[in-house]
Amino acid sequence: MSLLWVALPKGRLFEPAAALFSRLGSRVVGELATSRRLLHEDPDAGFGFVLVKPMDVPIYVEYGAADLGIVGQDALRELGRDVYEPLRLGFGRCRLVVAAPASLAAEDWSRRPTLRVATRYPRLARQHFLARGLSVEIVALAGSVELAPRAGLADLIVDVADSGRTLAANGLREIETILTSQACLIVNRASHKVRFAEITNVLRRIQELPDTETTTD
Amino acid sequence: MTAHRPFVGALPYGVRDLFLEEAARLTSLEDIWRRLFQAWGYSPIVPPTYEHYEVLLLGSGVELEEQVFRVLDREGSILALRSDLTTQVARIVGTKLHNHPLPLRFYYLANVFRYEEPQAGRQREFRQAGVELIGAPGAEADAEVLLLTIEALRRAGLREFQLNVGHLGLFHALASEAGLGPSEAEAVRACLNRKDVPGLAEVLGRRAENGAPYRALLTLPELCGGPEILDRAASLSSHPSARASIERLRAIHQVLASRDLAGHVIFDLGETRGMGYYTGIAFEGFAPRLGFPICSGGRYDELIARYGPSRPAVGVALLTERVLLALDGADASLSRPDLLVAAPVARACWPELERLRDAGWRVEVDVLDMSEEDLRHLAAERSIPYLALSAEGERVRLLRRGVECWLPWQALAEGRP
Repeated sequence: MSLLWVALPKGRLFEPAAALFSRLGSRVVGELATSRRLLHEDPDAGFGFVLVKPMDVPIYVEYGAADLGIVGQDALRELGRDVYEPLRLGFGRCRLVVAAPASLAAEDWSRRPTLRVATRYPRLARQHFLARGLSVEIVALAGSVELAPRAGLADLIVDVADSGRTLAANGLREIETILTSQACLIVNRASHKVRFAEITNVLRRIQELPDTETTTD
Repeated sequence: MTAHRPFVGALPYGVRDLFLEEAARLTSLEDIWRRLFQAWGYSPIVPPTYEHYEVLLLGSGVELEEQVFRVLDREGSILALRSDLTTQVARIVGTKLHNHPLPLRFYYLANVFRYEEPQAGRQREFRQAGVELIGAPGAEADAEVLLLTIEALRRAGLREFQLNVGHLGLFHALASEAGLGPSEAEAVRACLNRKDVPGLAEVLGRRAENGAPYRALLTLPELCGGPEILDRAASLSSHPSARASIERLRAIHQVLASRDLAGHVIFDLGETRGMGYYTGIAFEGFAPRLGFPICSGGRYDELIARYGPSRPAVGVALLTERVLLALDGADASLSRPDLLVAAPVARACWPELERLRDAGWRVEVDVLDMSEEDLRHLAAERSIPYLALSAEGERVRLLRRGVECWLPWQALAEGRP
């Protein structure tokens, strides 16, 4: 039987995601973090792993380059890729928020004729503001978004907050939550159909792991 | 600023050139399908490439709206490149063929245009091969379209593939039994289409704890498999239209099983995708190692009524480029002749060449008066299996796969190229 390929995200979701697959019997998944190889086969466990940037996970899965993937709902919604998302995994919880410098947060900022918003989530940010009739200028950044207001690049930011400490350290205050997010397991549509029994089995094994907060209901 | 003329070979995003092997693969696949569709009694239909935007939108509905290529003509009317043939066929049947005896069977091999990211062999302009069976409401008609789809994929050379068949009637019955309003039903359908069971549970909320129709909706994503899942599905609801949907799928299964083709079909009741105009069965085809569907089809009993008298109908569109992608690599033999003929031979033996062409040989004649040496080079370079160098009486001197020999013309015409 051929391997089921799994796209794992680098960054903060990597450790819990790798832990999940090592609990499913993969011995090599732990080595991914320290090895420079981005592609690992684990025939004993029946998985292959590719290690990619979080925002690339849905793309690998949509195209079928990976059958399964683990990704935060924040990245999934931002990318809007056509994949199945049958399982929420209960880790990697965070919120996507609008944050502003304390001075702006205190005033009625929504009456400003235009706002400039720095974010790594241009699609979700645009949707959020336009749906409320606010015209915004979106500045899409690749990282260090919380710096943008202090540097004079933007009035507001849209970014993930897990504890809020990073925001506070940069003089920002959270003013709205756009969505709450957690890691979820995503599946390529064709793989889900063609390898239905295998994939259903993996989903079941994940749900049956003790002490996991996965939900399908 | 200087206006730069694009490089003379530049192409806009989303289109491509096909030539030689790739063009030959595409057209020979379409030839196979054309013969197959005709053999099943389907006749060709050739609608225009663009139409009035509003007329097309009437049929295709909003879900394709964002993907439509729109053009303004000089009078300011909005035109649209077709994004789908079924809508055009529905317009033609509804407005021009309402007095024609039924059923009508049409096939098409055509290009369609969708403004979307190119993916898996599908550019913004891509080919579809499809059939529409109009005027037959029953399971036999559904089964015919499924059988023809299976046959088309087999004739294309695909060995492993499956059709996942669902029925929208079941979803609509459960949604109405659960008393979901239109926007709630849409939210439920969006979750089902992502197999987002947690999201589904959120939308249905606490009602799911004690209502059978809610539990049934939550169960839908699990209902994927052979005919046995139809029994499970039947226990979900006593709603007449839910029952009718399951019965329809059973009847289709019986027809397919009687032809020994049920193995290609998976019943997939949690799938509520497909064109907005589908009302009954809806299906998609998948092949291993290709992350995207290779065909999609379904029943659309209410589409033609948007253009004229109501007619039940069912059809399928095969995504030609994706089927080619699912097949193994290019076959270079498709774009080269079987026989290359030196100019003097062509002048002396024209009737013999005609006979070979009639027998199905692809015969290319040298029009450059090349030397024998140059011809040998060319034949080797293009892997042309036969080269006719000279002729005498009934016989021809051939280079056959690199070996020289004398053969009677007659033997060639009787043999396979």
